[in-house]
Amino acid sequence: MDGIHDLGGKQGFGRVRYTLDAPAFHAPWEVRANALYGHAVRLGLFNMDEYRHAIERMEPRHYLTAGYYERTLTSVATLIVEKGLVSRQELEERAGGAVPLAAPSAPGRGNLPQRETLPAR
Amino acid sequence: MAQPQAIQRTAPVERRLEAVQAALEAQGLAVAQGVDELSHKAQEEWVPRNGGRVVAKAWVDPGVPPAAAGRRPQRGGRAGPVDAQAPPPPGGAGEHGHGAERHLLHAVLVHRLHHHRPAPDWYKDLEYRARVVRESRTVLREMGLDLPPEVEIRVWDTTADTRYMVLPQQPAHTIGWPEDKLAAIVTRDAMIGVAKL
Repeated sequence: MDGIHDLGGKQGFGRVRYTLDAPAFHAPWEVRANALYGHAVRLGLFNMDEYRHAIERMEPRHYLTAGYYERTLTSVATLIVEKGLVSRQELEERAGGAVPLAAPSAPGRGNLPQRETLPAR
Repeated sequence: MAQPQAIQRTAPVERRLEAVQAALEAQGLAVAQGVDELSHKAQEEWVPRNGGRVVAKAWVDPGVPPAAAGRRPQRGGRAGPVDAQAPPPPGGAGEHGHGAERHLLHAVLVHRLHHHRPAPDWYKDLEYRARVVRESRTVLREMGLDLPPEVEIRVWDTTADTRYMVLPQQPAHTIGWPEDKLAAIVTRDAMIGVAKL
């Protein structure tokens, strides 16, 4: 899928916010989100391809505004819900608010006329 | 018509993280210890000095071919920089730096589709990923690396299956230094290809 994540060559972005000795993490929760993803792979809850795919399935506006580790977290949350480990409702109750997930996996876009894609009435 | 849904504010990202971890714990998965362990590794063990040791080894080990080691070419030629070299492209000619027609080449890495971990923040930002493949010379200049026009820039795009490391050119004044001392001068940004040593 030609998703929003395929950023190479997209135009309109500004300067790289480059600093010497730039940190990889800016807050403790980022370190933990990164570790949680790694540990989930180690536990076999999902593999790294599924992890990347779930990031690629994020809703485009969410993808572009979420930071790197929020994308990590969104992928983990999406996969554990999709695999039936926990429900979205449980996550939202525990979090005290909405927990945005990536969109369901879907085949690539087609260009068939609508009459060929809608179920017959 | 879909049922109208109650408007619910998105939980702060830290609360979402805590919720995911707590929900997994409630399933009987021991998550906390693994998270602590991997947090420690990401901060204390998966660090650029590991790469610095690899670079220093390549510089001093005569078994590593010059093209791969990024040494300053022995023959004269032009004094332009061969700043950094990456592995040759699959099936392509990879001889740079020591042929008859010496190729002034600079390698820089990007993970266009995703990210590395634990990579510097700017490497994961949308700006770098979008722009370095299209206007690498401008981006490098903005980042403080102004390459002469005769230097060709090749961008190596990391994928899910292949990771690269740039082997920077050894600074001339460090020839003969012991490996430990060499390892200490190698920077993460030089191994990405956005800085010289």
